Amino acid sequence: MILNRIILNDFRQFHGEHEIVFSKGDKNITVVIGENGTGKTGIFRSLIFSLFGKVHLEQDNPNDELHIVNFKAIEENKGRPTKTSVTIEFENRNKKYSLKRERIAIQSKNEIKEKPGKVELFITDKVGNFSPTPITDEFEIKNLVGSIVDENTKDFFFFDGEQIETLARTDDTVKREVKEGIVKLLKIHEIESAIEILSLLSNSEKTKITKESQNLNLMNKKKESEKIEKDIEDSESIIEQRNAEVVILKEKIRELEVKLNQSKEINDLVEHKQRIAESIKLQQQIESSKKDKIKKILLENGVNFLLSDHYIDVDNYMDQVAGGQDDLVSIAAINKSLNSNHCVICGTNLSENPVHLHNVELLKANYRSDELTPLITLVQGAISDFHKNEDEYRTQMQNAFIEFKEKKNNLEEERRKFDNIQDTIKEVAQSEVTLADVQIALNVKNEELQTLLRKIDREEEKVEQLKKDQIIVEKEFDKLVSQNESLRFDQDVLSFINELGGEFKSIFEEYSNEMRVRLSNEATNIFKLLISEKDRNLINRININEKYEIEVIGWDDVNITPDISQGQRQIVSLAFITALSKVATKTFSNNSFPLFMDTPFGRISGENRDQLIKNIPELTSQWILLLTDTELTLHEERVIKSTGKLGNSYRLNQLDKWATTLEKLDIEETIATRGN
Amino acid sequence: MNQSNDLIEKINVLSQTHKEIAMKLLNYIEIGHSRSQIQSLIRDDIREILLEESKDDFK
Repeated sequence: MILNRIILNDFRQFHGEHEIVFSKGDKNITVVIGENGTGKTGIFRSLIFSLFGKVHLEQDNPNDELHIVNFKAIEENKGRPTKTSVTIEFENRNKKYSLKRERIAIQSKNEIKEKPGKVELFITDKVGNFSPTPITDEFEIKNLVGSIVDENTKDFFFFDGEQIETLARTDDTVKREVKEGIVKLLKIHEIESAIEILSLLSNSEKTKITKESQNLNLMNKKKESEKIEKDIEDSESIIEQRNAEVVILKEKIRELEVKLNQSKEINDLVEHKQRIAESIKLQQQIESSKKDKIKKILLENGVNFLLSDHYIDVDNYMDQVAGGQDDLVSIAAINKSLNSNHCVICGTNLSENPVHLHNVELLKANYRSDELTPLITLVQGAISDFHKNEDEYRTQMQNAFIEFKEKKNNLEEERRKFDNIQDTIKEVAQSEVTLADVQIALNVKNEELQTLLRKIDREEEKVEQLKKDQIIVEKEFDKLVSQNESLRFDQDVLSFINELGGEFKSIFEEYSNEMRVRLSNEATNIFKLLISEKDRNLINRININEKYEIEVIGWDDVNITPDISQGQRQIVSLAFITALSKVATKTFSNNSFPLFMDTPFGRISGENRDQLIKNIPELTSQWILLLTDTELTLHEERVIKSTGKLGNSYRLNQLDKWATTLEKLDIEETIATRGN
Repeated sequence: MNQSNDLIEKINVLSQTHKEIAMKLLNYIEIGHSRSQIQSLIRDDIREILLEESKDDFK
């Protein structure tokens, strides 16, 4: 089914006439932007109303009286009957359909009552022939529309972002919903009905045979068979009840395991705290040795570092003082020059320079000692030594400071870690009972679970035995019937019914299993397309198990459904819904249907959102996106436009509570109003 | 009948008489008859087909 156009007339919030032309073919995305309450869901509702005459959607309370005639139009009509109409134009298998459905509201005092109005269906065949008079018979239209899209499956083509993540939960209601979804969409319920009808027929045939035979033994066998059947029913009901208890018990065990893990967490934290304490001790020792090193350097060179700027002045002053001394050249230098025949002051060879030799000999002859000279020599020597090694001392000092600072920072970091871990331990421990208590409670629950599972096993064995007994009783019943020639034909009929019932049961089992596997594979493929690479690495596959629960399986083959985030859950549900419609489309070639999504992006992260936008148009014939302006920012608009599949776009403008208008947007222009 | 090809395939492997009745039964369900109506209709169909069969055997 391909939707071409919908025309709304005074429908819900839409006052007056409005139309939406749906995108199809290569450009199959239609975007409708609107605030909450402006009528986004109303668009899907109008489609369902037009197709099936239904006012309620799956999400509505069926007991609520919903009004679909626009209140403003009712008010303007001042007590006269007011009509709403929805016309949809669609194509299916080369035929074009135009279906118009009306509903009338009558206001009396403060009450508004609505009733169905006219319905008209025009069909144009592939060569353009059409009947000038429309089909108006409700039953005929119902059958015709039903052959195009099954009413039971309508809600599987509508993705309500606000509610859908519940599908991937694990409670019983969801299990039922998923099972019903599969059963309805894949028409397995018709096989279930066939099995039920054949079972009822078998019973009524047995009753008939028993009555006709007037045979006491036969009557007793019938009673015996009925009793066994009743026992089986009772046992199956007990099994169902106990299985529900198992689910609750498993949940409790899970809670206790979480608590136990918290206790284990405390132990781990305490161990970690001890390791940090040891590390702090070591860091303290290292810090202390670094401090000692600095002390030593300061002790040795601290004064020099402090006075180094004044040393040049001191040195110059010492030179001046030395210049005024009689022993400007020391006796040691004079002796050394004479002994080596080389002047130690200027380097002249004394043996080759007699004048210079004479001067040195004069110096020795005239030498007089001065008491300040040793002191000057000592001071200048010390200054000279310091200057020679100053750079090295300074580098040593700098490195020692850097090392000390580094160790000090490490120590502070370790102390911070220590404080944090201490706080965490306090927090966890506050909501914690002792490890031993939790372990005891867990053991008790595990024992209860084992007992319950044993009881279920016993009950299942009982059912198995009862079924064997039933077969025996059935055979005995058949034998008794066959002894009576007049009942031979009735017996043949009964056998035929029972055999066919058995065959339908096998078909049901086989077919529903095949569909479950097909659905699991399809959902996994779609999920992998829709999910971001990061999440793809966490989740291996989606599985619909024998109990029709949706399971999310990690790479280690463990069921991680309870551990996935809300956003991931929503994508799992979306993958399931899309897979369901895809499998149904493949299974029933005429069952394609536009996929409506109402506020689907709410909980989905940016990267996953982009993946959805890029891939959904490839998975469905038409994608109708009903978005709020916070969902469609400039970023999403860019991604949608980059697919090249955006056809038409509309904005819902709310003039007042009961007057929303539909504005067609130019997709060449910017349509988003927020974000960047 | 608006049934899936997979299901039709499975019904096709049944014996001719079972297949005939199975298709009729699914058809009655799809049309939307009530349970009691279907029981009555299908009982008549089974009787008819078995009578035909017994006549053939007699021949």
